[in-house]
Amino acid sequence: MDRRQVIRHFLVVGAGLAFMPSCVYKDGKVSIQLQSIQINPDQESFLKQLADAIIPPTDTPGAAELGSHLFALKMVDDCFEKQEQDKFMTGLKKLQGKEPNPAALMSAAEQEKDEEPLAFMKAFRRLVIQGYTQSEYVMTNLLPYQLVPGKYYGCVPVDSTTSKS
Amino acid sequence: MGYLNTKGVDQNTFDVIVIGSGISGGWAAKEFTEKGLNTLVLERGRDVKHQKDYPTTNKMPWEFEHRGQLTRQLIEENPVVSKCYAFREDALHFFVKDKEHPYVQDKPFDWIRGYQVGGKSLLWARQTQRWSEYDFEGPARDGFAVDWPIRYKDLAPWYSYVEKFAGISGNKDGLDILPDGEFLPPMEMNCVEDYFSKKMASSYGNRPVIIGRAAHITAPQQIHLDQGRAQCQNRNLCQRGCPFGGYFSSNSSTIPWAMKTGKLTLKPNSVVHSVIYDDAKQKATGVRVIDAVSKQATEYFAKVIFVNAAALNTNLILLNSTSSRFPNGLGNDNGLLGKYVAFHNYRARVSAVHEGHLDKNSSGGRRPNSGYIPRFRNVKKQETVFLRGYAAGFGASRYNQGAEGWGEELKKGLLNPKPGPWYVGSHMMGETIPKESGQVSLDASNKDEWGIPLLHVNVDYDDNDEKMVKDYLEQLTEMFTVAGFKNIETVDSKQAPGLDIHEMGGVRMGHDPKTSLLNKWNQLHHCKNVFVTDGACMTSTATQNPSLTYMALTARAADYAFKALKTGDL
Repeated sequence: MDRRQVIRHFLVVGAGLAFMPSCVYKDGKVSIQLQSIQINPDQESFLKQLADAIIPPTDTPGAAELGSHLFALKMVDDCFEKQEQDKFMTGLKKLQGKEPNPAALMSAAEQEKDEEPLAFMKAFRRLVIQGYTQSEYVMTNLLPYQLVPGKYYGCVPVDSTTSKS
Repeated sequence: MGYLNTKGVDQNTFDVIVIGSGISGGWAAKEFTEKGLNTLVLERGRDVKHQKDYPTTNKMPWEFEHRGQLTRQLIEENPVVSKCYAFREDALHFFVKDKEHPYVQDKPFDWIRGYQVGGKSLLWARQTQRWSEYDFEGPARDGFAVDWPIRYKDLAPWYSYVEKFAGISGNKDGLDILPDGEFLPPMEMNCVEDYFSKKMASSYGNRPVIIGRAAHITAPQQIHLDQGRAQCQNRNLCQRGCPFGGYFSSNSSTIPWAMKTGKLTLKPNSVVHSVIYDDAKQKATGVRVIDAVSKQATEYFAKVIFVNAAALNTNLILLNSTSSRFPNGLGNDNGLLGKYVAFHNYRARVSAVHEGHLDKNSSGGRRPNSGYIPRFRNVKKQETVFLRGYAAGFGASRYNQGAEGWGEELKKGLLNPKPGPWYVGSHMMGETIPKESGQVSLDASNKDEWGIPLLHVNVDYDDNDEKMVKDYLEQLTEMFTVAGFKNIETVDSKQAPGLDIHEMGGVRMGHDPKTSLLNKWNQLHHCKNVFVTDGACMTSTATQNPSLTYMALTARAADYAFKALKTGDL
């Protein structure tokens, strides 16, 4: 098996499972159970497209395939203060239906000084990046996380440093 | 309270009872069982077996639903413990939640607790600096608290004794303010810590910056292998419990060691209500225990009792141990039990950016340690407007730069991380002056689920602490400026006492029964077969992380108690 096949196989079996209850892909339902915030299938679809626009699939999976948009929702739901949640949701509602082009959405929000879309874009960007970089796929295949690193080297030339995740 | 089980006094009788299985209780258990004494260790929390009961220890970052972060609900339900840096998604199960064990904050006090076998030894920061003569002579020289009844020379051999067994990494720095110990190889400083250390040495002369001495096995010796412990792997996931036993905890070290002797009886879920005093025999005869689950009361008996319930809970137990001889708490003839409680002042931090050394970085493991600046204020004589001084942590690190842009550009940036500038930071660890007003006491009417009065905590900063915060911020700013660091920022978090998790005192040692509770062997002056060797015994606080001193005091007191038992003095 070449590397991509391995990855694809791996993804089918493992990645993102935690975020995808059985109702995933059924019409009219969302893929994640949330407590405090509520989203509809259209919003989920928008977030998924936006996540992939933020970190697109290339020769490796994009953010959506790794469930980063669902991770983002989980974090907003469980960890955000009510006020932050409200801003996020208001921002989402103002942007949904537009073309999921993050650069354009961000600069428009900045120009118009539109508070909630700006807050939404910043939060979603941060969480999609976190969900992506801290996904099993990335931390296993692309920037491997060392659970048991062993030796610590205090001072080495930068060229020889491995990435610290 | 449930009915009393008085049957089987014999089977409830031991040579020694140790209350608590944390860092000092674990040592008491090890010492007594090694000496062949039947030892009962009572732990109020559940059992936590080394390796087996570390459920998160081998989890990968993505296996945590919130990647380590606390949920809003957890923070709302736990306003106190959620402030603790180690209370994260991977270690929630080792902390007492606020609602489980209420207490009364007469003044704000963040009481951080770990109720389980091993106590907070699973969660500690593992910094193990010896006290020096300057610390023991502090109260006498500067006229506060009472004179320590011991000096450095009394404890030095016991520091060596516990260090060899626990495994302490460190560099022999040759400092009289921070005596060298029995060190395993030191952890490495990184380039910028080393640069700062050299810069301070050439600029000041008396402000050494060293690598922290830490209870991590950097090169296992036979005594560590015999414990089943292995070399620290630089995971820096210590608060989950270490499957390698790379750092010292009761769970990885003293408790299993004591268990191997066959002399240890370990009873988890055993909440000690009080120590039983026999007026006729004029000594303590045992302890009264409430089962944490069934709430049933049982009594256990022994010749010697070590109280190692952690500083404030040791105070609570003794205050609650009333008898006709001691109506105000065991050994409390002078009314000072629960008073002169102090802590460490951790309020202030300084951070900055270092623009140099961009061609260098650290690599490999996540070092579970940092640099350390021993106290440099008022060491040999009084020289500032405040008494005593502060030690400081110091660390430097580089984080990956955030990736820019969107789409493929962003993805490429994320997958090819570049280290950003060096960030440097320091935090203060200030000595606080024990005061009579700093005290804990029992609530007159409110009790917990186990029928034990709620503890009031009334501890606060004073003017000396405020002056010390100011001086630390000034001095560290100056030192960072001398080092050429940029964007220097200072913070006074104003955090409440307690969050340092270094609460000490209330059952202080001293020469005179009129002004102290314990003698130089950690015995209650007025009830000689009860010993206190946890943080409660501390006469003053110094600036060092205190656990190593508790270990040494415990081993020393256990040795004394054993000999006194042999000679019939106890």
